[in-house]
Amino acid sequence: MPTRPPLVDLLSPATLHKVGSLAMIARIAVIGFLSGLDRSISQGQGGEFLQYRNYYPGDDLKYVDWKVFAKREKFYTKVYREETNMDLLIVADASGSMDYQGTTAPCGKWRYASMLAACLAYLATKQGDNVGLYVYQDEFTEIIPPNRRGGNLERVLASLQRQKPGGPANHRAAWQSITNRLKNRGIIVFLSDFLEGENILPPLLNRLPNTRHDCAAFHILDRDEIEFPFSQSTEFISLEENSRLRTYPEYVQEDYQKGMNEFLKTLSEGFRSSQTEYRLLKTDETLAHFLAAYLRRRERLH
Amino acid sequence: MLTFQNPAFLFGLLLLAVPIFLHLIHRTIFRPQKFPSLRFILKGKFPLENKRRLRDILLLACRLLLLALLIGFLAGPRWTPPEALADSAADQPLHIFFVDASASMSGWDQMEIAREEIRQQLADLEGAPVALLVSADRPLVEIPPTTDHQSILRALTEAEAFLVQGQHRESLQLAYRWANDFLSSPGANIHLHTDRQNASWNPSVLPAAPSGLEWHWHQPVEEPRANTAILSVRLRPAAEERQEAVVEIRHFGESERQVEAELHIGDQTITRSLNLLPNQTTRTIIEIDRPTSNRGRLSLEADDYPADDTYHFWAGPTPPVEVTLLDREGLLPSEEAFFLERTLEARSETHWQEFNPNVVQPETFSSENPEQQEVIFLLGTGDQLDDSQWEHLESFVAEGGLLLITTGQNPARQNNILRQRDLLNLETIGVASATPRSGNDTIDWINPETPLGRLFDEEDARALLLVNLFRHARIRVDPEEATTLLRNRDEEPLLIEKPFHDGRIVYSAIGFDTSWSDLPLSGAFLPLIREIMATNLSEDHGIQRVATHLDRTPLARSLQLTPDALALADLSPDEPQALQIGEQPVEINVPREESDPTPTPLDEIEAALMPRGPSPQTAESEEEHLAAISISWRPYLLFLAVAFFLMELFFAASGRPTRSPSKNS
Repeated sequence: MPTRPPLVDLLSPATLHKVGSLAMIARIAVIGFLSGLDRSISQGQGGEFLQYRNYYPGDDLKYVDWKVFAKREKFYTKVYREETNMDLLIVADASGSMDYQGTTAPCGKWRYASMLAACLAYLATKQGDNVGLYVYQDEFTEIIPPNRRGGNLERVLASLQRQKPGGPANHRAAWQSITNRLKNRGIIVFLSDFLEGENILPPLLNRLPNTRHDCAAFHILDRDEIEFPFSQSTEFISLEENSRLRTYPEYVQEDYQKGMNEFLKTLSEGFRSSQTEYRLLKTDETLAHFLAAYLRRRERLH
Repeated sequence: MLTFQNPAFLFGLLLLAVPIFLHLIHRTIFRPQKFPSLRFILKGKFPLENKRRLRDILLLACRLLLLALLIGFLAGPRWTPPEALADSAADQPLHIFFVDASASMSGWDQMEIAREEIRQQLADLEGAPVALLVSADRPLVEIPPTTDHQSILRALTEAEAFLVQGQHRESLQLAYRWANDFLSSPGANIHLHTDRQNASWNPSVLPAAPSGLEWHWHQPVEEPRANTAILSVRLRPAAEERQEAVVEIRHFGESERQVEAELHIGDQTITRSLNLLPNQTTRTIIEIDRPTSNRGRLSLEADDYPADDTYHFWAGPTPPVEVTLLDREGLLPSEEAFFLERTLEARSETHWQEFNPNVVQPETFSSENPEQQEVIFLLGTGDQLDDSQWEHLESFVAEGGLLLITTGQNPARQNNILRQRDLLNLETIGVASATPRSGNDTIDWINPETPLGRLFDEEDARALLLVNLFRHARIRVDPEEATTLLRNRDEEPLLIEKPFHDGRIVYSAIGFDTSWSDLPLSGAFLPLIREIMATNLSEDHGIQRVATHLDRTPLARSLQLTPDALALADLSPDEPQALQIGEQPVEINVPREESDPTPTPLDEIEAALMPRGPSPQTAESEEEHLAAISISWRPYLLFLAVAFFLMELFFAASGRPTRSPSKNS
């Protein structure tokens, strides 16, 4: 009898990456994740009918569907999706550096970020939150504001599927544009490698105009960027700039790692000082941690 | 011009391909790798690819140069400055003119012919380096390589043949040394003007030539050549107070020759017509009256080589022969010594040779006695001599002396010593004495095969055969050991002789006093003793015969005179003559070894002169010549090699990582 794969395997990027559709990825990941947590989608008194269930004593009678009772002589209670004023704003960096896929990684950084965004959007939608998506490079390439209307999730997923990373990232311009669009309370999730942004973004986040917003910065890096495992003489080609560099990795590895560590430290301390949750995600790590972190943050805000 | 001592090492330059090949196969291939950002890579302090490429090229260049310099060092490059090269290119081959000026070249006008040939050759060699060697028994005229042809012509005009036997070894070696400087470049020629007379050109003594020397032989007069030479003239007594001149003349020619010989001595001039057979020596005797002059000369009709057509000889008395009588101890000389001394001092009408007897006793006889001793009489005193005196006697006889031994009072003991010293192996039987019954013994046999037998012919032998022998030592001797000269009636040897090295030993079984025989009182005693000694003395005894020679030192040494004393004698050794220096008669004549006109075959001479391997002198000379005109690059190459080696070490060290790679992965 085949054994059921563990939850971690199902949520690993190596597994999810094999599923082409982001919608399917989001469904698998979120449902699997929630079933693992023994949680269900939030139900409430919203306007969108969700399903029927058996009537239990104590249920509000106004939700009993009398027409069905008349036909079947049995009580069913109507269940509606809970409706909230919570916005989820997903800000994704689609610059060229996000197009990198390491030598051992199951997927590229942008693919990983897309899967994260899809899962987040799906989960938020199922929770009744309003999902918006902002994708930027040197300028915005996609803007989907949070909306209560149906079909927003499909637009988000389609947009994520469509994006092709490239060009440099203009973090400052992107953030300033986003802050002008914030209305409801909610969560802003940054998905980026934050290259060249360690000294730009934290001060900007620290000056959020509305304290009802919570920010989370998910730092997506490939393991190669951290460990720099190259050994042969290599000609490095920059993904964001039109520059090349021939060198011998064994001679520059130590200095590289030193610079990278300083970069991560600066970034972490900057986000911490701006009360932004910072999490470093490597493209070969499971999505479960990310989803759990989102849920914890949502519950805190609720 | 750049030259190399060991050009074979230049093939080592092919090794330069090795580092180039290694460089090419290890050339860095950069794998393209897309990467999000280069900002952290740029923080690496290690030189980037361009810097490393430059370092690699410099390292390769250092290694190539280092290798090339080492190969160049081994190849030994030498730089010849253009000026020196131009001078060298302007050089012409050396021409050495070797003129044989030995005695034979004085004939047949050969010297004049040689001079003319050399003049013609010089005319064709304008500006070329030439050298002149006039050689007789040594180099007589030496003009080293020069372009001054006039000096050669002047020396050539003055050069004359010298009346000596040619010995050209030293001259040829000198010519080789001159030629060595030119052998490698531009070359050397040696022109030999010689008749190759066989005595002068003995192949066994000719020195081997260095390789590369070109030989040109010029024989002034082609064969055949004929020559007549007076080989010797000896005077000897003849009957009736006359003298006989024994003349030996050799004719070198293929046909007979009639020649007039003219002998001059004092006021006598005697002419003889001689018929000389081809290639034979003719011996003739010319009788003359007792000469009134001590100097004589025999002349032939002059031929093409006149130097040997005259012979100067000594006609006067010769110095007395020194004779030592080793007598037994006593206040007065023994009777034996007395008779011998008187006999030797006596003058004879028929014998000009005088003797100078000197009686000594064993205790005063030593090797320190004058070396003039020519004859020693051991008068039965052998048992009184010690070992050193016997050793002296042995060496005396071995070097050509005559030792005459009488039996003495104890013949067995003396004969035993002679046998032990391997001087004379005699078996002593005893002493035989005459008895009234047997009567006196006599000499019964004279060996007719010996000069003694020829002297005592039938008429003269009577006096010797009538000698009464009172007693004699009975000895027995192996005929192979010694020759018996006299025997008694019982055929027992009375007088024997034995050659011993260069000298002779004569043993008498009878003593020379009246107790042994009446021989000392007979008329046969004097001719017997004189003949015994005369046969031992050479025909040249008393006369010093030397060849005409410019160097007086050998003559002075043979006469035991200092060169100064010889100069005082007003002697001109290069002029044939007969003279007396002190009491020593001297005959100086042109050496007859040069009289034979037969040349040594050219192939034999060339075989002797053939180079035997590379001459070390040549190699050394070439090395010196190169060193003189060129500059060796070896020290500079070595210095540069060291510098590039240090640079190579520097570049190699600068390319190594100073920090070990991180192992975080």
